[in-house]
Amino acid sequence: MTDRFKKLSTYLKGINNKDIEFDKNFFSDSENNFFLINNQIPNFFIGDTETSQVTNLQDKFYNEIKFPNYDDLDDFSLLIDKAKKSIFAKILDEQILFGSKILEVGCGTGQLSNFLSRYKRKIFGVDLSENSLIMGDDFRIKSGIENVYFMKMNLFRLLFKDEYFDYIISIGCLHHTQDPKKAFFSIEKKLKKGGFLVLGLYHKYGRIYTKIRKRIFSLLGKKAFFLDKYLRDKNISYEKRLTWYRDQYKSPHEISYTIQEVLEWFKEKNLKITKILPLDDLNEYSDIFKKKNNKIKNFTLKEMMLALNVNHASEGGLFTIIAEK
Amino acid sequence: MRKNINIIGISCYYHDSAATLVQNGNVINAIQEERLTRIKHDSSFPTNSIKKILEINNLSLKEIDYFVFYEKPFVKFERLMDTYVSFAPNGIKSYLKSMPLWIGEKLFQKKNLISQLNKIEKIKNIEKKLKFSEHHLSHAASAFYPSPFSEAVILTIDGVGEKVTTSIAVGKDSDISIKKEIHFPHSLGLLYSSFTHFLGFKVNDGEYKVMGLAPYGDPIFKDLILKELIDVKEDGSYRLNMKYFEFATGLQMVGKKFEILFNSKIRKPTEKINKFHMNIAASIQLALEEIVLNIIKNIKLNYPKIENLCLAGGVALNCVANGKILESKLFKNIWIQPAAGDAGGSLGSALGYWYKKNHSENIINKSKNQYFDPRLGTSYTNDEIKKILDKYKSTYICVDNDELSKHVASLLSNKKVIGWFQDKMEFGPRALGSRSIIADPRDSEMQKKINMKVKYREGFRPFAPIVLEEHLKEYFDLDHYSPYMLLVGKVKENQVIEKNLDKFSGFEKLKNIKSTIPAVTHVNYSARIQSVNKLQNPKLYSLLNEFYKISNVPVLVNTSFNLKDEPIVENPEDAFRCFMGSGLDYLICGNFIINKEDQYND
Repeated sequence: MTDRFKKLSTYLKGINNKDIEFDKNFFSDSENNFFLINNQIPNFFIGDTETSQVTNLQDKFYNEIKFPNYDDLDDFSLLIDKAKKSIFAKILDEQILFGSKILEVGCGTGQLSNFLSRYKRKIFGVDLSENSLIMGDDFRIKSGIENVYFMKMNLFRLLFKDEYFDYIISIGCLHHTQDPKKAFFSIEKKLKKGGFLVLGLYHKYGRIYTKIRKRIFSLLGKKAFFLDKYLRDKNISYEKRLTWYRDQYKSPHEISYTIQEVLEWFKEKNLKITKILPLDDLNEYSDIFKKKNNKIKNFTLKEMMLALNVNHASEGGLFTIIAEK
Repeated sequence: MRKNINIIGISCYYHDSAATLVQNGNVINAIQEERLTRIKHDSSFPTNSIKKILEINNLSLKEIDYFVFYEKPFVKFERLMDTYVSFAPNGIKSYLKSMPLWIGEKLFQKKNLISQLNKIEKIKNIEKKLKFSEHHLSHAASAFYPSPFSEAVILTIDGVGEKVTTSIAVGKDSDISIKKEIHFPHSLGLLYSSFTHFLGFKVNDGEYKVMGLAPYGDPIFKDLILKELIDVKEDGSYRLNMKYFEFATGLQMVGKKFEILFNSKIRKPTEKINKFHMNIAASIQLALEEIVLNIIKNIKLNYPKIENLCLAGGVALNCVANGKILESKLFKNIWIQPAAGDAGGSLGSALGYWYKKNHSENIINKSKNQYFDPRLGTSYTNDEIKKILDKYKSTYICVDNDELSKHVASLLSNKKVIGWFQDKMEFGPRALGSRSIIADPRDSEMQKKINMKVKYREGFRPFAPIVLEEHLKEYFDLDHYSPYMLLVGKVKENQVIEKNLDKFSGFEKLKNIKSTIPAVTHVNYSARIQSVNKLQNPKLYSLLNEFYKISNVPVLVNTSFNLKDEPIVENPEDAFRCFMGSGLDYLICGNFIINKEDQYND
């Protein structure tokens, strides 16, 4: 463990690699930095007055629900099997360069981080929920994965060096913060020139079904659960369905956007868009990290159509933008 | 100089598509399409294989004299029609669903084949060059012509061709004549596949898993299978009880009635494998062995003077059954086509056409030592390999051949698991030392490690040994060389450590140290053996020999170089990507040694 933490500290900003001390419960350096460790998960959380209100709420909420949860995946080969069923995860794994450094913001229980861990990539999964991180780390240890690090961190106060990562992935996280745009700028700072950002957020129109269902659930309760694709699926374990229910319908704070709104953030930072999902086609041969040449026609209309896309909505109504710095 | 006669054999549109080039009667190249397209069991027209073969031989499509397709599409169409008629009105749903597809895709197969060939290169009058063989004749030819025998009985068993499921033929010199056939729906291949489906594995892919699972169970359902599902006649022929099967009429192999018979639902792929599944696997495996043996006994009765037996067709890949045939000593010699499945049909159809065409002028002289080298695919030079390694900014060292085997042998003895990429790629489903993963067989944790941490697949899957030919008998009860890993033999008793595995149940058996070479000893002490000699594969021989010098054990683990559900690697780029995405410790690609620990460090 000592070596692992020592190695980890070399990736962090403002931590002096020399004279690192730690035991089961803490981690400190010669600069008087001091962090707690909970079940092997270092707590690098630093508070922030402007965003603390929502952060504290989410900290509490997500510490209780572990999302997305491993369920009965008890070894790495099953995780690979399952992840490969998602064409997006499969493409990420095939196209992210070998040996690259990846930051996943809002990694939850860390399935994606663990899944991408082959090909000698270095992966850092940060989240607020210590319990989720512990679950991810347990799976990591059981699978003998060395090159993934899970830690608790405030995404507004990331301790990593600037312009350090080849890829930053954040899917379904920023919309739960007090100021998603500010969060975007905070993580973008950590991306290398030529690196890629993969950002997934709730879509304003795509989310409409979920919002309607939420309203119905609050009126009718469990009786109406059949309306949700996952909640009605008896093949999914009770615990996992409960997790989905809480994440989708009980989250204490969420904001949704149109793609065009978010594209403005990318413009401000001069990021070059390579893919917008689900507006661009995605198949096994799509190169998601190659600069787009085609302009999406009738952009606004297509966005509005997301309000009618039941398939898209049943997955939670996310859109994903991939861009190069 | 006499002009070369070039024949390309083609198999496709059913299971594994492939192409083979036969030049003046010699098999030059044979490649399975899946290796190039990276789609496992790819059954589409083998455009890439044909292009690759032309490229290797510096030929254009114009220079090919004949294209031989491995089966006759119209006969197959008639078989389907017959089937639907005889089972009507059952199966009308499947009829309506599959017939339009058939008529669209397959009835016009000749047109389709021509247009596919024309896509590669436009040739006038190509239809005159296009010939058709018969499915089982293609298999039989693939088993007889490359064998070292000038006379043999040829048994081919598989799922179904056009309508034949089992055929017995006699080969003499350049002639093959079919003597007996069993027709669809009565099929041993489909019987076995029905159980593959029942056990929750993929049909045409999971048959190995059934065979591998069998030794964990007890064959308590064997009698039920022989009583209810199949009627085996005195003369060796058999009929399936179609009451229980749905493959003739439905869209799946078996259904409700099958479930009721065994009092269990079809296993879901995610469901844990339990003792019942093991018993089912053990039962169908034993039943298959008995039925095949019964056929062989009858063949011997009918052809008492012929001492040689050739096998092909998918069922011939069931090496456990092959082991039993050998053990029975009914035939003095047996030879099995290593590409026994449909891919091998491309080889058989091309060879068969050559011998048919050149009937009188080509009395072949075979020597007893004739060796069919299954390494018929692509190969890459060190320069080509280096280019790929540099493209990926990989860290490596390069050594000469001598140093290579010494170095690798020492890595192996330090428990490193190695991806071994050398020479020409093998034809057929087995990796025989060109595209292999190799490891130390002495380590009792090795089987689990390679399954779970290297290939990411089920932990129970057994591994096969490669052994120096001259030491074969010290380790295994097998009197027959087995260069293609198609024969099974028991590990010699003096190598066995835990003699009483029967007292453990199911997967518990795995946890014991079975023998001095536990990683390649199955739980019933059997092993699927590949014997290696110096002439046939000098590099692999030298590696085994160096390992023997260090460890005093002339055996290594050999398994295919791929991950779960992926085709075996074809080129250095596949190899490097597979290496990086797997738990392999080292990649040996040509003369390059690539250590995982050295890659992409800061």
